[in-house]
Amino acid sequence: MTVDSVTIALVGSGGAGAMTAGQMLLDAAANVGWYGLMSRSTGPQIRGGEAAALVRLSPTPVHGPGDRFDLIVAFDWQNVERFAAELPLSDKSVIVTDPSQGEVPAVLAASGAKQIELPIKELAAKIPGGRVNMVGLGAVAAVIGLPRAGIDAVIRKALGKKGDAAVQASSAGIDAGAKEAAGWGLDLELAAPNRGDGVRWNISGNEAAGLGALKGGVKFCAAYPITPATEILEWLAPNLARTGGKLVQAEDELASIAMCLGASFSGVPSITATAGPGLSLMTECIGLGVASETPVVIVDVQRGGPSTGIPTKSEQSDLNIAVYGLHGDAPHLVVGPTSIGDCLFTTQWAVHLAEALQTPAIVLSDQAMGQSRAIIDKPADAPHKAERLLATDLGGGEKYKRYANTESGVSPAAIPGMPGGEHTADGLEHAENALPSSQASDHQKQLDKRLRKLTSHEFGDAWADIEGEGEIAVVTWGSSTGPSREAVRRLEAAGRKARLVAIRLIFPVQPAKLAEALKGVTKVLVVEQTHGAQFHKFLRAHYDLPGEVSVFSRPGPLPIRAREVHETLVSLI
Amino acid sequence: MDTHLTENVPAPTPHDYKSDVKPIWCPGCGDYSVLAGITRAMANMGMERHNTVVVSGIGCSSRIPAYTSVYGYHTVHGRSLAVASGVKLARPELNVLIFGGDGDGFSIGGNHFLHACRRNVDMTYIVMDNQVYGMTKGQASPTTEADWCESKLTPEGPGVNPIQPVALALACGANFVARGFSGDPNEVARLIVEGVKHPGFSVIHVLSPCVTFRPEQRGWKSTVHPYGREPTDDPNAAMRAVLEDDGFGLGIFLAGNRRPFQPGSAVTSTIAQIEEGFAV
Amino acid sequence: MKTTVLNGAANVGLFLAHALELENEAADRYVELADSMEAHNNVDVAKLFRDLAVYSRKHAEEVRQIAEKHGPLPKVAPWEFQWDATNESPEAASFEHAHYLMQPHHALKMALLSETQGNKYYASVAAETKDPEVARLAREFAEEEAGHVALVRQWLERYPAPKEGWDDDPDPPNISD
Repeated sequence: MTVDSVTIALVGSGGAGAMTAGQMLLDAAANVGWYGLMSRSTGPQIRGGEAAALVRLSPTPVHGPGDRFDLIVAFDWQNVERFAAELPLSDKSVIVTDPSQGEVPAVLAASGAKQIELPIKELAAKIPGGRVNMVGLGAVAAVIGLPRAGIDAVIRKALGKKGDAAVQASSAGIDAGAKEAAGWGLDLELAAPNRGDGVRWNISGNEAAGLGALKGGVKFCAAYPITPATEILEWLAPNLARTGGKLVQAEDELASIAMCLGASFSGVPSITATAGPGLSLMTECIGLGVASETPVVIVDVQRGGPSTGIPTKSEQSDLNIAVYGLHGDAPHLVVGPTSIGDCLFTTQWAVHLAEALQTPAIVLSDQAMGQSRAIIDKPADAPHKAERLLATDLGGGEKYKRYANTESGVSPAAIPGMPGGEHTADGLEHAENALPSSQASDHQKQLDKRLRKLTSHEFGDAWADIEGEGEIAVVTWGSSTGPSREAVRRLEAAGRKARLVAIRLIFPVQPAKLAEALKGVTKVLVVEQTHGAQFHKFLRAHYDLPGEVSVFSRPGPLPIRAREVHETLVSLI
Repeated sequence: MDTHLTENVPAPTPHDYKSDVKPIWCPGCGDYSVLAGITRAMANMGMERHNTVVVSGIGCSSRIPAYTSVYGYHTVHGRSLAVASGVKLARPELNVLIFGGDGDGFSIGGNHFLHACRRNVDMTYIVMDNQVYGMTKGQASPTTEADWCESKLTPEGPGVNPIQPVALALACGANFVARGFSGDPNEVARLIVEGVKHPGFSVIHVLSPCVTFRPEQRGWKSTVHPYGREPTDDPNAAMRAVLEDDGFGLGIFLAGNRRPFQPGSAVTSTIAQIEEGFAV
Repeated sequence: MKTTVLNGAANVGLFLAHALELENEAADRYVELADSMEAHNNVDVAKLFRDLAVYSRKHAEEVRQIAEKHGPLPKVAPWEFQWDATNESPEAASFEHAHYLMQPHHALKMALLSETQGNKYYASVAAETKDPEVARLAREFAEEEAGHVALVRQWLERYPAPKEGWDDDPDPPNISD
């Protein structure tokens, strides 16, 4: 008998190599045709900290973390209690433990999971250059039926440069682990992969966001490192350079957003990436982007807040600051990708929208998407490009008006290099000719225009992912979409009906479209990862939700799991 | 002096670089003269208006962009250098100048000043120093004397020592450092021209009196004096000399030879090629 | 008295370049001062500066016509002009003497200083130059400036110095940005 999905944790501290083993497991699974998702949980230490690679594999696309762990392989148990809550187990789970590392911690043993002893350290020590993580990987591979060829390709790729000895040592470690596991008789063999013809990608949300920026036409990035957004910047550095763009490291987030505005003012599509603390620092300049109508894209990879919060764990609690964090009436774009792969589409779309509407766009990703890797079908190409409406017929009789009060609200832009378009863009309120004005009529006109360009734009179908039918609907966003989608599909698999509405375009709001999507719905479940139910309150402020509304909302760091959403839905029906 | 005769095409005049917006500065303010120096420098260099960008933050002197006829960006308090860096890094072919005051540049924007100096992007910063916040009614700035007691905010005086902008610029690595005085706009124009022509980040500290909140600064015209040394390309020598200066010496302190920062490389990949890296 | 008018005294081309700069700067400055007064709602003084600008512009135009007959002039950078003891062109009224509550009397005093300096500059050139044509033109221009000086003096008689306290303002300064 095989299983449709298997969820595995590789746990270890201080150089055990749990992350590397998890990465190799995901890569090997991809090689043989499985889909997968790998997230991580780490301690705060720079080196030597406790760490867990959390991997879920399946023959079908993986939307989110598994309900519980089927298999934990622990190289040691150092400080595991710090993230034991992130390792839900049941009596059907299996814990593989090295007897030399002591007892299985009570917090995990209490689940009633089956325990199997594997002398990982001893087995590794017998191999010249042997490492515990390879022994563990070999055991996992044997348990889930991962073909050896898939692992060999990964070893060659990862260790080829280190020479034959390293490759042989790893192979021997895998063999040793696999040999031991062969006799365990566990029912965790994963169903055969369905390779198909399509191209698959192995990508993280942060990489996907970077790629989306490139595909949208971004040519400039100013960067200040911050967890968990840094990988976007590090990915963009070489790849912008390869495509004729530039990345500059700034002195702080105040500077990175300001540099982006400068580059964008001069006509070059620009992006920066940050997390909550950095977004807080950027808000004044984002307001300048709104007032001066300078496009810019900010990817906020959300983490636990407030303040420094929990930098390495996910949360969706920057929604409020992203939507409301600017002083004054400052409408701007806020979008949220609904999956790791969608970080590509949504970031690319954000670049397009920011340029088309000449305003800042905040992309709300989060740590769970950004720092997780997934094996996915190659995303379809989207047409969205940076295209700014530029002024024409400059230098004629009429003096150029940078903030002309057009019907659409979008004013043709003049950028440096265009003779006759000289003007001073301003964060002071201004008249149509860009000169500062504190007159009521100018303020009203410019506020109206800056709102109108957003509200009158036709955003098409991309505003939300809408799936399923029935009288009960899950309304969600961001990385809560994955478990919600899986929960809805489980209901459907059981012969019940449910809808999923995952809102990608947070702002401007689309009340008519949501009303249409929820037509006939009598029960709504809002799913989000915040303590204060920010998304629910946001929906209440801007939308009429039909029927009876329930909320599933809890803060990080625990991910929302499909089982929890499914159980809530079942309880509501 | 250029003894070549002018062509028939009329040479640009300072007037060509002025907009029709009337400055709101108090009559008597030094910034009027600095603006005159700026437009004279632009005319002298024949800067193409459409290829010139001036950036400012917030404050009296930061109002300058709207008074010029080139592209301008009047941004937020303290961030002008970062915005300008973005302009120049993204579009190296543009002329980029930054205008601002002592509060904008050295207090709220102090960190950006430090890093603009060390980053050495090829642009020119004209900082008009009147040792006071004018737009908010006369509070002490980072260059105000510790015992200046005229502000309601610090009635006993700010009580902290002022910074020395020229020494700070040198310490942080600016490649061209000079000081001018609004009372001599032609010399200010010369310093700006030299600063713009010099590769890298040029800091031009201009003493520019505030007649409203620091009326005693009218006396600066008898306090300033020529610095009295030839410009050096050695930052250490410049620093030693500046530390002996009384803060009123005028001239070019450093014309260094650090290479400007300007990243950029040829296209080597298509996006499709980059995407292939993700394929399993 | 030591003078530094060498450049302007060297030849007709350089002299005319100096004269043109002097007259244009004078006119431009009056305009700028008029703008500044308008921005500060001092309409009387604004009008006065505007009138002074018109006179200056006329004279600048005369110089321009003379220069046109002479042919192309050498290009001189702002800091290469050599004036007699002033940093800026001697006839440009100094920004630093302006005050938002200034009265016509003060404006005319500024104008008197400017026109006097203009006259003195031309007279110095006439005295120092070895070029007879430069000397002729400089004397002519000096006389014209002397006429302006006399005119401004006449005006001043109509506007005696205001009493102490002309710059009192019961309101505090405004807060802006």
